[in-house]
Amino acid sequence: MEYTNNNQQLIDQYLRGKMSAQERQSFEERLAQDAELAGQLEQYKASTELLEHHADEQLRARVGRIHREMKAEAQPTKGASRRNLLLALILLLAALLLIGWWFSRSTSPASPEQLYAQYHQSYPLSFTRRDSGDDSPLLRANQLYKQKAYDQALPLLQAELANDDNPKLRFAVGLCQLETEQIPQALRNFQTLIDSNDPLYQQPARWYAALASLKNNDLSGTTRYLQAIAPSSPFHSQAQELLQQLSR
Amino acid sequence: MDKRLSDHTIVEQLLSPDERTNDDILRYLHRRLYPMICRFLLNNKGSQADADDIFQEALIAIFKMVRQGKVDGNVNIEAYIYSICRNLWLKRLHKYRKETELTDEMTAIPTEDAGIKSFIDDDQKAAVEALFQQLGDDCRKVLMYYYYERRSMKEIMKLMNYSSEQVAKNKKSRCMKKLNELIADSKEQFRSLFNK
Repeated sequence: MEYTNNNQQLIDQYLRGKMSAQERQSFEERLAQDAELAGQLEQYKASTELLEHHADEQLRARVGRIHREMKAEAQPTKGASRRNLLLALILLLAALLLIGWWFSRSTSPASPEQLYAQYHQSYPLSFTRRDSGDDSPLLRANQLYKQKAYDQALPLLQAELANDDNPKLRFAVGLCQLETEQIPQALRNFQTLIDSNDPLYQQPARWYAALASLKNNDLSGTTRYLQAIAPSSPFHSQAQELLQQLSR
Repeated sequence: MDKRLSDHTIVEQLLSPDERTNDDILRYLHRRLYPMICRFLLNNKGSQADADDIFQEALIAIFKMVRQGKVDGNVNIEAYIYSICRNLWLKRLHKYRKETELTDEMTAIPTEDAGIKSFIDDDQKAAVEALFQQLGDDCRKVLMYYYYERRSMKEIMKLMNYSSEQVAKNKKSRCMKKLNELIADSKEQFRSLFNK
């Protein structure tokens, strides 16, 4: 099919709506009689459609690449701020331990109860809207946990855990049980997390299981959990300190 | 947070023929708006994945609208993108038959849905890619400027450094002819595409 530049120009004007009503009418009359021109118009439409599709695909790929880059860039910052927070917490804990050690060094070995009081710190658990809806039992439980109303937070968390068995929820339930002195139940939940090898909660579960055992006067249990805390865990240094105290 | 650029600057950079300049301004818009869009979506029954999806659609839409001359520097670009996201999300919510009351009070600005239908399979995608490679970079650019971005011959002459509008016109005609021939050669491959 041979194109003439003139036909191409006419098709362009027709498709872009740049013809007067009269020009349009005469072009359409020609189209009705001239099968070759009608074929050219169809081919032209097909080409521009493919062109648009190609451009859309390219743009989509480009924006997708930028989006992925930007998200990846934002990630380390988030990670770094979390690391800084963790470092600050560790330093704070270390300072507290040092103070504790300063006051206790002249006295006889501390009792399990004293050690528990010395080492126990509420875990900064937080459920966000990403974990649930805006006005969900989880957000209420989170609020109650922050206010240290563990006995009220516990049933809400247990109900959620019954619906959705996830490590974060199980850990939260264990913490509330520890705080409300339901030690065997807390230990069961921590042990489940330890056995599941969960990357986020296995080490914290060991630390809090050690504290729960301490609270229960079970020193060999405490030692066992503390010894299992991995060196890479933020709980490792305080676990070593506590082990030293227990060995006195 | 980046210093806020004027709407004229944003549009100018989106219109630039230099892809790196376009990408830089898209990154700037991403840094300024993405967190806000995430908050909006998460507060209105959306998920993180919805936010990613809607935000990318909005960036595609604003890029096309600017390049096609439908939006210029007299528009508040950031507010416009926000309203595109809002409208796209509303449409999607209606589709999901979810009922929600948006907490946002921005006035809706009618926008076109930037949804690009991916109606061709991977083999056809590869064939389209190959076809445009055969066409050559200059031809692809000239045809994109003319048919996709609806630019005038004068603009194409400047963008492509041609000596006159007539040179641009001739180049466009030759390129369109070449594209038609290439498509005709692989007609079987694209038959299903054009029958849709």
